[in-house]
Amino acid sequence: MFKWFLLMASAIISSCDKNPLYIEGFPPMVLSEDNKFSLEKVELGRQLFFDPILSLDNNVSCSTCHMPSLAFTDGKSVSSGIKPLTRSSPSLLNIGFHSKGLFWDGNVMSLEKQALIPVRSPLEMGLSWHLAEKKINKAEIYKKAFKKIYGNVFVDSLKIAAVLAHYQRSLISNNSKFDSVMRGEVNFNPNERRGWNIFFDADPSLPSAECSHCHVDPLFTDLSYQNNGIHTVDEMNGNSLEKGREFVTKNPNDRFKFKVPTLRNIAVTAPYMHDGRFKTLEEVINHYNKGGNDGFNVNPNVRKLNLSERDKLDLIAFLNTLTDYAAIRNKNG
Amino acid sequence: MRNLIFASLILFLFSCDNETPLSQNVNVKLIVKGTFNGLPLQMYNNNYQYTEGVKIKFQLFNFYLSDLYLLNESATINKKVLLSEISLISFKDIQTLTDAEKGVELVFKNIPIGNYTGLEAGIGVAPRLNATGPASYPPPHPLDDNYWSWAAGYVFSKIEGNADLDNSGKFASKLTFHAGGDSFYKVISWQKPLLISKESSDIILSVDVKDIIWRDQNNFVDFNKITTDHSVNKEMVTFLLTNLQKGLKIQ
Repeated sequence: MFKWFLLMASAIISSCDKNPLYIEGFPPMVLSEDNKFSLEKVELGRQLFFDPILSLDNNVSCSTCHMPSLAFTDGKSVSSGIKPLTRSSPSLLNIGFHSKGLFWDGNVMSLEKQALIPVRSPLEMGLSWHLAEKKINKAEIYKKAFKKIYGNVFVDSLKIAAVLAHYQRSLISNNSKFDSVMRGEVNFNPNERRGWNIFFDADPSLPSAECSHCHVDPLFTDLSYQNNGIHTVDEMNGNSLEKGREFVTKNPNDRFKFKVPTLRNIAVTAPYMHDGRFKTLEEVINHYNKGGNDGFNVNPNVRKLNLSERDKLDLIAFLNTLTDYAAIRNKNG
Repeated sequence: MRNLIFASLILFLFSCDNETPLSQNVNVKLIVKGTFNGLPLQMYNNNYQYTEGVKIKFQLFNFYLSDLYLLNESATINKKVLLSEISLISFKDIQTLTDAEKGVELVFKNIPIGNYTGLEAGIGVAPRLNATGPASYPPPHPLDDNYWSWAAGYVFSKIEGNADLDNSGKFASKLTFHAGGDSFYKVISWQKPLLISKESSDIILSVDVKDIIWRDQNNFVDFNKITTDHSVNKEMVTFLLTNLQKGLKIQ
């Protein structure tokens, strides 16, 4: 399977001289000046991603919460590393394009910085970077691999984060049925087509589901932070430790705003929302159909929709076309 | 022959008009101040009386300016100096009174100093840019957002917020008006002496959002009847964008 990945990566690289991770129709990928692309770094990052060596108890790897078969989520309402966390695991497919912050609240801006956080988090992998570096520098297989890339130097946290960031940039999803339709290779069936129109508010004779204001293609997220009305007024006014984007900006107008998640592969990434409160796509659509809860900063595009049962089914038929089986069957990433 | 070359050189040197030498450049700041019915425009943190019994709050107001030029009508060459090909004027982060008094600020670098006679801009996204898409622009870029993929074009202007229609204080009605489309793009110019020098390089535009949604007692967006439009209702798009074009004023 890894051969498939290398072929894919090589194809991507050869398709554009300037940006090694150029994907036709996608925005330019966010790259790091200090972390030049190489396939060796991707492969080393892949090995580390699936290896529990970076956790305190040697049981938790990045892939514990980001499983390829679930579009790099974990199927849980809230994830669990060394200990239970408070938010669900977001998909990592196409994460390299996320230019407006990472995590649900956008508290880091680059994959290189992001990769430093879970290792040392007491809830996620629970290992100090000092110990993590020690373990990696002792492991002959990693010592050799890092030496091949960086020369005979001490492998520090920044180098480990750099290869993990590299691997994550290689996680591309652009081969769903939706993509094939857009490329003119196949057609939607009538239900999917009707769902597409409802999703994009594209046919005035059909109801509008208002999805595409935030779930903009090709990423199916505009990467913005929004309150989508899932919290009750009591939750909004309560003393919850969860503040969403407010935690980062310190602006009360950002309370309970979270990053708009991608809808690519949404059929395999249940449960939904930052806290996994909705178990099915039907529950999600019912929430939006009712117009969500009131709140001073709830996005006004979250409004009562009056979708019929048929509309909802067609919307789900369209959402199912966003599953990229090639990306999620790649069990080794 | 030597005399001829000398004469040509003298002629060349004195043939230039009074245009400013390009070597003297400064940064020009465009400040766009928003109001609603004369009051400073703030997102989230303020509400505004609209029509009788209707108050509104805003979460977002933005619009694009394309091909923003300083004009120099008296110049024989370089009658226009480009400030920006595309700018997004977004009030999303204008939330406090201090923000509102400051306005939205954009800085354009390396602009020749001089006595200009006005400003020109297209309101919306110029058709040549509207035919592109976010994939063409490395973020952050004004055109990396506000795109309708299904319509293959950008939203020229967005007004989003909430209305209190029943005086309950709940602001339960949601307002979303998104306007765009090549046929609604219009270039306008403002005639006004603008001195761009090392001491003075600010240009101030103002826009009152009430002027965009309310023209007179018989012509206004009645939130009791309509709370959303995404450029489906052509009459509505024409109303909003024409009002924006007229309502944008130079100070």
